[in-house]
Amino acid sequence: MQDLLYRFFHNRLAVFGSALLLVFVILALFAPLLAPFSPYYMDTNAILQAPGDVHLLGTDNLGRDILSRIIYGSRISLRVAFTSVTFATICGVLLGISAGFFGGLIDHLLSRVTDVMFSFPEILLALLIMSILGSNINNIIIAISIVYSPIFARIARGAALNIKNSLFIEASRSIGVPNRALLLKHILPNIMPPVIVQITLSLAFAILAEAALSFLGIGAEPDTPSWGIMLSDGYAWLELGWWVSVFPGIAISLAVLAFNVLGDSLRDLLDPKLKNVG
Amino acid sequence: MLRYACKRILSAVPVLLLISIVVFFSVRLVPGDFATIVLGNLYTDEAAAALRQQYGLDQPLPQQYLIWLGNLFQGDFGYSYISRQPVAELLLKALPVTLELTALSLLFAIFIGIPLGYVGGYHRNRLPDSCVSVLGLIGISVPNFWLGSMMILTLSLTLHLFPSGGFVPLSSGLAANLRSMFMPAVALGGAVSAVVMRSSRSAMIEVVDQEYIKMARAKGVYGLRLILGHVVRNTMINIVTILGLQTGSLLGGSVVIEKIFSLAGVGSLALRAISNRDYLLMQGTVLFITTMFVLINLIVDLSYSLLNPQIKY
Repeated sequence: MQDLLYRFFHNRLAVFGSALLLVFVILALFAPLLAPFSPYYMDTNAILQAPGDVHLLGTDNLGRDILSRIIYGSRISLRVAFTSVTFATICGVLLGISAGFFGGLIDHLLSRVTDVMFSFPEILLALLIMSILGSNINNIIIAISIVYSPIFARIARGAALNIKNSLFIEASRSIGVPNRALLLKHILPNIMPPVIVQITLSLAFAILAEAALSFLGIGAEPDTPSWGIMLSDGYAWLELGWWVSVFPGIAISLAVLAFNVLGDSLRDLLDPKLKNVG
Repeated sequence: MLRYACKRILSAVPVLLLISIVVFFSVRLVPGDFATIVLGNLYTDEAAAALRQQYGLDQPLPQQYLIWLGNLFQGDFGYSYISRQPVAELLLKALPVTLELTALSLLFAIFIGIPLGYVGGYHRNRLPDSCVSVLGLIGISVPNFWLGSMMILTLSLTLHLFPSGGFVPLSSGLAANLRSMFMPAVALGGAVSAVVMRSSRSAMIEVVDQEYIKMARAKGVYGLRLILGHVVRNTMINIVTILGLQTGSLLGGSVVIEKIFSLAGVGSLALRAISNRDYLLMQGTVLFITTMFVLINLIVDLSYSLLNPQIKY
């Protein structure tokens, strides 16, 4: 473990990704202290104002401060990402290891369900779920959790299948360790490396998915300071105010980059096969 | 091979059937009544009941599903409630746009992603590799719809190089058609080319230390000849698998990109159907996109033995 931490802090990518992520976490936690304006405050004297002294990153078509909305937007993006990926991980991993461990009918059923879910392009599946549930942030979380659960199920199933017949599991079973303890205490910790990497990468995808759904008008409610909503407003006013779409887009890209960089470096650190590659 | 192909094609049938069930029933779960939307101000209970009967919506759901499925096998996707046109006709009209968009994006991803990935992997841990790795990370992090907006802002509104939206069909000339599709294809293909770049880089890294590459080098084969003659074929299986999986994100992404560039493709048809509660159009478009994805991955699966003659079924 210590070796892992040492390697983590000596990996430039890992440090860069964590630092970038930390910036967004601080923005989200201290939004009311850091944002110069309320994200909903409409300054009627400053409609579509270019970046300047008062509004550092300009204002949108309703006179709302872009910087403040970006800062508050990090709350929505991170909340959606963390909650949905947590749900997806728990559901997916539990289903996956049970299927891999017990095999038989449950495995067969799960495999068919994941086959079907993998046949849908992710955004399309999320769109379909959102149109059933209706547009709001909690529903985005549900939709993204459903879309990403099968990925975790598949990874966990594969990993569980791999170690199910290994000697230490057989030994534990022979001394009478019950199935539940085998699953949670022996199998779960051993399949964590690929799951952790997938968590980081899914967080990146979840931020992109939230932004895409909100951009399409079926994600967050229209006045929410969500980065996707801001991009959709900005798209409508592209000709009159470039800043309305440029800055939220940079925010999304940086947040997604943070998770991708972190995911990449974790993969290098946790996968012994790739230790010396790249 | 033929036996494996038949087996593989047959195994796709239950998946497709399950997909049709999921699509049908999930579309019926979408809240909101299409009769209210179609009738608007003319809404009365009698008119709504008559309308439902006209479209067979008064029947039990399993029966509706079976009728829909039966008609599908005869190429009949039903009618759009809103435009009153056959769904199949609407799909056929939208298909060329989406097909061209995905094909061009895929080409962009292949011709940008693979060579750059090879260069990075070949020069591992040196400057070209760092550039490729950074580019790959940025590529998978930038949302395609933002990239699209930014291209409209710079290349279209500022520099006036490309039209900001709309589809010019091939019949109006290849140049005009490609001009209208350039920005959408790059915006949609950007992230995919980054993914392809990253996997080509890893594939190259795996191959470059193999004995046969050392042997080829010892014989004096270098550069492009080495890559074309010895590397491409051995890395293709990984790359083709990634390409197959990425067509899913291309098909899904086309929903967003078609909206930004005002292209009347299958994606925007699906989006319109969803917002109008146009059941049959929704079922048709979603099933169509999903089936395309399943078939593409089937083709990818079957292509393995062509790419590597050692794989025999």
